[in-house]
Amino acid sequence: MAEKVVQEKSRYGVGIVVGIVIGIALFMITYWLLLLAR
Amino acid sequence: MEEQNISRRSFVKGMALGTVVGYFASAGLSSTVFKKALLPKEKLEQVDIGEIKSLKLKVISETSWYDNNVFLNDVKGAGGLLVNQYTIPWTTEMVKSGYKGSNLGGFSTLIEAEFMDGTKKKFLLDSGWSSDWMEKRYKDEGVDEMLAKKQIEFLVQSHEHMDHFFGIQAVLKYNQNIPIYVPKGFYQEGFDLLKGKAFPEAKVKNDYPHKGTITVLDSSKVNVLYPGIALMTFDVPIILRVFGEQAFVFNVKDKGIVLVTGCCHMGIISYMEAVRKKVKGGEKIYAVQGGLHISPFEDWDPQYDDLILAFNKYGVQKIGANHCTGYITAEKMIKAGLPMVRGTARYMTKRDIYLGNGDELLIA
Repeated sequence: MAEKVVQEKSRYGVGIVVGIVIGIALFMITYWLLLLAR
Repeated sequence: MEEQNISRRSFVKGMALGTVVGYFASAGLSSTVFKKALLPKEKLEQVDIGEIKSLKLKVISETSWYDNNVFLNDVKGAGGLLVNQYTIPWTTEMVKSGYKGSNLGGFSTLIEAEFMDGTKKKFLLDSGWSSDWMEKRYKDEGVDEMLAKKQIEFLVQSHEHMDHFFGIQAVLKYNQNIPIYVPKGFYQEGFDLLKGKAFPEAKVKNDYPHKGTITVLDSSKVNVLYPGIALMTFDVPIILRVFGEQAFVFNVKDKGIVLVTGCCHMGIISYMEAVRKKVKGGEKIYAVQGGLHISPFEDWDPQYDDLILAFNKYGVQKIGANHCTGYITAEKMIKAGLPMVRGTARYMTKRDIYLGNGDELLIA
């Protein structure tokens, strides 16, 4: 049971890291689009 | 299968949170820490206007009118701020604080520039409102003789407002051939007045038709008139059905840029920004002289405080403000530590808090 909780936490952590990378990429895309639109 | 679903849900939850955090963290960092690196560099297309050695600015008259309430009642009585100024019956009698009972004054500045080779040239900025008052002031300061002897190269009309233009007769009386620069937007009535047409409703006339050249300047470029001397035109709609204003830009050696305005309806910050972007050396504005159009009716709005704060950013070292700047603004500027040049409160200028009639500002 304890092993299962650890596994869940680890998946959650990986999700956050992947999400942050996606968030940064999304921001860069919107920033670039805004620059183009100026 | 159930276990796999739970793991995927945890992953998606984390990813959603991470995306939001990542997006906003990037936005925050880019607008603060990486601001300078990420923002595209501003493209400056600065014109080199050259240099002059020194500059002398003499306030002939900065008193537009003598009684604010009388002026405002004239405007209200005629229908408001959008009414054509040539159709308003301006008060010319029974004003206690006025000149010979008239409420009409005027704005005019005599400019003397010394070039790098030591030669000097004079110019006139604006021709005031009441011909009587302007003629008196021109005589007091010897401008009448300068005009008659053709020692004044040209007249620049900053804009068409009555207090800067309707006194044109007092200039043309002494030199009908003087070249005149007007900003794009001058109305036909303005050109007609120059040619000798009278506007009895507004109690304005010109018995000395202009015979010289009239040059209309637009806002497409910095108009260099002589080395170190330029005019910049701004497309601004102004009250009492006037459009467009222009102002001087001088580049004084070892000092920097000196801005000389009539009324500055384009806004002093817009003017300084335009100079910074379009004139070589515009990053260093040494002095500003003339009307700054902040509280012409001696009212105050909290947003003007921001304007005074913004002034500090430009590092201006001499402010020879007057006219539509307003006494209340002058007080606030002094209080804020801005380098206001004081005057002598003579010839109908009421207070010495700013550069008044007959006062001089020397940039050398």
